[in-house]
Amino acid sequence: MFEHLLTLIWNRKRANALLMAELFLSFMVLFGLGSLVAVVTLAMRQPPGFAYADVWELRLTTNNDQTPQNPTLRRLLAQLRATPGVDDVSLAAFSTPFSGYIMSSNIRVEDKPLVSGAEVQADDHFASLLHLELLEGRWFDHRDDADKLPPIIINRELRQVLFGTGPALGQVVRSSHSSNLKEFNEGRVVGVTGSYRPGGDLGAPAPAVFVRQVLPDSAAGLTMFSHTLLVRVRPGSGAVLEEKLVRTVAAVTKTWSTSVISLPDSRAASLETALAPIWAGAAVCAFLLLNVALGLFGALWQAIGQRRAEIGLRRAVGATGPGISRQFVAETLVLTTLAVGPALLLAAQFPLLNAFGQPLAVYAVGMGVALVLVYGFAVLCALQPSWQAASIRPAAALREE
Amino acid sequence: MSPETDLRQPTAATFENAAPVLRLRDIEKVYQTKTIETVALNSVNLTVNRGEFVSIMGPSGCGKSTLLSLMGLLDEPTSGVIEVDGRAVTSYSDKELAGLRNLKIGFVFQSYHLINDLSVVDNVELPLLYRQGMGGGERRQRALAALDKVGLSARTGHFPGQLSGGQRQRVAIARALAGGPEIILADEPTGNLDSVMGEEIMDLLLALNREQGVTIVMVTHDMQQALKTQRVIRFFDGSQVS
Ligand SMILES: Nc1ncnc2c1ncn2[C@@H]1O[C@H](COP(=O)(O)OP(=O)(O)OP(=O)(O)O)[C@@H](O)[C@H]1O
Ligand SMILES: [Mg+2]
Repeated sequence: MFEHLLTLIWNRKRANALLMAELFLSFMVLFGLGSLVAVVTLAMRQPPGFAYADVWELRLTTNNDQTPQNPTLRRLLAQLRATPGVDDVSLAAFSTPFSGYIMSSNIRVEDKPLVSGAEVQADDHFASLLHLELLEGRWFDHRDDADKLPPIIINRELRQVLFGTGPALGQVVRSSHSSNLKEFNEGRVVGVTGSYRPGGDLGAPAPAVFVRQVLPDSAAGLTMFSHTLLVRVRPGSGAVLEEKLVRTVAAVTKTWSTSVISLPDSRAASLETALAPIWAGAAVCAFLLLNVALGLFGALWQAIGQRRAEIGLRRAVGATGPGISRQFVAETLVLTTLAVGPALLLAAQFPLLNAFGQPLAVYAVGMGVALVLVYGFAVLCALQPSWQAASIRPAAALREE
Repeated sequence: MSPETDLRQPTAATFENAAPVLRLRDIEKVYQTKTIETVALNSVNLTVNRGEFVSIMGPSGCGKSTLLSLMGLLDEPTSGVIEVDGRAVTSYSDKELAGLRNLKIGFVFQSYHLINDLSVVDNVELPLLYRQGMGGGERRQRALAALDKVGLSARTGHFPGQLSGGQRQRVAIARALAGGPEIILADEPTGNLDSVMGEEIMDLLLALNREQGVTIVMVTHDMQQALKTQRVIRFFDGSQVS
């Protein structure tokens, strides 16, 4: 019977071509979407490399405050640290976790090739506040004040590309924000952290370098438009503490204003942004699938209308009603397979050619999702018309024409 | 040997097998539509014996096709009993009926009912597809043998659209033959053909009946053809008149 169906479909290839093209296309689109979802899921399942629960971000706007800001900041930090319910405060630069801001930097050791990575400006409290894992050496502290070369801390990923299995601590690293190799800063590696994903959940683990940020003692210094603080609070802290922090800022600074967002909220917001294109893709897929479904459904309906005599004849020569039904479902499945087979071959080229450097599992998930959905839809659309075909009375069908 | 000789002197085979293969008892068939109720058959009692060639005649709309579809187990009577080989089929399941149609009955229709997207030989194989446990090789072999019998060996790879009406009807007969049926039910098999082609088909059916002992029930409007068969049953307005 399988052979028979193949013959039938082959002989009706012109009528089936559009449907097969639609099936092929939906498979490819679903494969893409499925793979994308797999990439995102895989990324989300990896730890970001820092603990963000119970950490709040305070965004301070200085409102054109022209007085020296460093003494104010110092007082503010002290006041905040003394506030009950606050465990620690870190003066962070703008590239806080989940903020979406990443400063990129070119890093090199001696004359080895440039490595691009994220540069994170962090003070001495940053690591303990975010519970960064330290694999080698130490985090920034007062010992760095005396050093001639600024201290540098790198994450595991950067260590891997820069030094491989060789020693990292004590090595001198050059970094530059421009690709102009003449202008660079030198620093000495004092520590290596575990994975740190500055982009948060959706960013792949990538090289990152931490640069020490200190508040100079002098009253001089830039007047900034804004400052960002990270505050680790006691678990369960809420609006009361938030209120208190805002009032503390107002009391200490007089003119600055504050907005407070918890890192979990910030993460949710950034996730939403990152997922937006995926939702859009899903909507396109849904639309496409609907089209395919309607096409399949319509084609089967039409086929059954046109093939009434054939159905009657098949019944006359020995097919049962359910047999007719099975034939139509099987025909749809064979048709789907004929379309999905080449699509699967095409999809297999992505992992084979290692097109996007994704692990095999990503493509496997993409193929799985596409297979299940395309076949599922095909069967779903075939069921009703096939059942209809089974209920055609053979004597009546044979009488027509 | 002309068909007439046959009529006057039934062959030994027909005589020996003079057992009822199809029997209709008190058959009534009513078609119910929204507006009207049509009594297509009314108290029909009819027996077809093994090896017989029966023709059915009657004016249009008198119920001939209805009768044939009941005989072919394609439809159920409103009342009455149909017996195949002496057994009432009333209690048979859809599956059992399909099995009986497949094994015992071959259909030939006025409009051929070939599947246009299948080649001649694939069309002829169709009944064998529904036979349990028959392999592709045997199917092909039987189909080719049946096509040989109807003289179409040279056209097995053609498609129905490439054949003349007479050739198409011969394909349909080959299809009916391929399953080796005991009974062929032919509803105006020559109705769409000119007289020469009609004669060809008629000769083919007569030969099948005579040489292979196939029981044939044929609906026809052609008196000449009917006279070549062993028995003519006339219908009028849903009832048998002779
Ligand atoms: N499915 C149906 N629904 C309603 N009425 C039907 C149906 N099939 C047949 N009839 C009616 O039953 C009667 C007998 O029809 P049937 O086709 O058996 O006649 P026939 O003798 O084969 O005619 P013809 O010589 O024109 O083929 C007709 O009046 C027809 O209109
Ligand atoms: Mg008729």
